[in-house]
Amino acid sequence: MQTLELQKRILSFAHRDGVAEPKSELTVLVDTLGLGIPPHVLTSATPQFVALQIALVGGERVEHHLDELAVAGVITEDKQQPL
Amino acid sequence: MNKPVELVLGAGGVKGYFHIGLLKAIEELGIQVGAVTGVSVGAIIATFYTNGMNSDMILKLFLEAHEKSGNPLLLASAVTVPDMRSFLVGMSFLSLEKPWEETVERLGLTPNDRLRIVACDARTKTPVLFEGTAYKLYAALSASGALPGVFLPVHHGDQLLIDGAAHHRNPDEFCQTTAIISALGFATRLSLEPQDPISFYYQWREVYAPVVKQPTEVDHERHVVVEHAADDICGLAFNLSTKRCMGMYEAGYKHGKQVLLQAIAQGKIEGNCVGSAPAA
Repeated sequence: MQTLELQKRILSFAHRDGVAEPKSELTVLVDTLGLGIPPHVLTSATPQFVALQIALVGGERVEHHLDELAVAGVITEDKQQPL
Repeated sequence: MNKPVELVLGAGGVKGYFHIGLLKAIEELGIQVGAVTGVSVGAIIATFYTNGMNSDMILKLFLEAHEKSGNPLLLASAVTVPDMRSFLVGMSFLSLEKPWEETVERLGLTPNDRLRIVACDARTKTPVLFEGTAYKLYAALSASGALPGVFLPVHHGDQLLIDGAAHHRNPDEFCQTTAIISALGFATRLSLEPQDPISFYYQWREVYAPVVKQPTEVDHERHVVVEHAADDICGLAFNLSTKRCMGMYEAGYKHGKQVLLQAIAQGKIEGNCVGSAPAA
């Protein structure tokens, strides 16, 4: 998957139904996958830029993780809010 | 921690891959970078870099964008009906403003205190510097790359702004300290590789009839100048193969590392001299 497509999917995941703080979801994703993204980026950058960094650093690992969450029913494509 | 240096990333379109290779060398040598001044493609890379991307990330985005550069829809989004004053300066129907507005929003890029973007007043040929955080990033990026004859200028108050290279291709005048200057050379001959008619036209223009004069002189005594040579590639040769793009990246890395190691050895800049200089 191209980086910008993956970034869009990550943002969609962070903005899914029931999530109060989408940016916290991105931080959890970074922690869960152990991605080496500097803390100052997580705190000060825009959600779009954080998602872009996650896509660039995590690549297929992020893709597989989101696939697994979808299979487990944690997220479903139709419950994700439009950006 | 090594003392920070500034960085100037010059204009040169598709040859920006050299800049990315140099950034890789800077990272490997542990050179600390403070303010980054960018023009045209240099402004794009400076924006990515000062927002927190490393050279690997920037390279990946550039290569992915390069794969899509033949998509006519991208060109369609830039087509606009200009006012007469803009048309007389730009002689074009293409504006970078809408594509850059969408890109800046989508990528979540922001102006920041380390970033300087240089554009040029079309009438006076004096520089217009975007710095700090209170300006529209998409407008600055659009203006900095608005080469007359290819793209329309950008309205900025009463001014019309064009490519910062019309003032200077590698502007070092804004640097407060020693800087590493990444200078992209001009095409000086036609390419032997097959080209599409538009690329051939731009290559011919760059070699024989440049649209605007682009000064290149920099202070070699004060700064560390990395000059990248690719005399058969014009800045607007966007149909280049991925192999050639990677070739520029690798050359920028190897040559850049040699020059930087020499500058560190001379005490001109601070860095970690691990390993030997790569072969040329």
